[in-house]
Amino acid sequence: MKKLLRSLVVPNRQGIHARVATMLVKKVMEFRSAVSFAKGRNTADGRSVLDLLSLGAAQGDQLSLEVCGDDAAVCADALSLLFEQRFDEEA
Amino acid sequence: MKFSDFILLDAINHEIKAANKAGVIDEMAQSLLDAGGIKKADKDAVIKSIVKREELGSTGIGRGIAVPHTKHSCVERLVGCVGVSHEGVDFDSLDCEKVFLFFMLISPPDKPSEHLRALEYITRQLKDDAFCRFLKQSKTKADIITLLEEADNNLFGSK
Repeated sequence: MKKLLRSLVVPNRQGIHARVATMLVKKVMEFRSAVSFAKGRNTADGRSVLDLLSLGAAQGDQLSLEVCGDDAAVCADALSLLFEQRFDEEA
Repeated sequence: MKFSDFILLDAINHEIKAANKAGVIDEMAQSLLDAGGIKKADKDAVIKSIVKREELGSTGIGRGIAVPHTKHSCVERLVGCVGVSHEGVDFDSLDCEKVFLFFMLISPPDKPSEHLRALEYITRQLKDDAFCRFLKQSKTKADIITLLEEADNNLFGSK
């Protein structure tokens, strides 16, 4: 079982709002791995929009991504790409 | 941010009557209008804007909860209302379940951080199963007001 940790910075002006959280959850659902995002002491299940919104992650906030499973590497890459592409939103 | 910072108590609806998504949005916008949160002249534009946002992807975020919202220049500060449907409404939610609890938010376009903090606050409370259960079981507007006050006094939610 692979476990990967990555540090990501929220890139977009509006932060992890509902549409972005839904986008992340839909991407996570494409994989088998368990995914969590943490901001400070608060951790969110990557399969829950409710959880992700409860982080209140704003632009510039640092998130710790933890991916655990046999497809962890491709899953972490796919999620990182969404951050790199700024969720198709303005900076 | 607390409920008391943005929820208009007069716009709380403990008994959503609408049976579909468009109806809920209309009913809640009317509640905001009646409570003075938005002006009559802006109601149609606000509804149109919320519907447009829903077309990008449902704000039904699962677990029987939806947060229909929009940014609109007709408000100078974030305003919101709460609606409870006892029958549940099909809201095209991510988990395909009916929605019972609605939080509608209208925020000024130039303040994305306020919107984000309101979403954070609402979802932190809704992560608490007891808060969700009590809200669903609310029989009167006063029940909901009491619950929101209790939440603001840290009785619920993940800290």
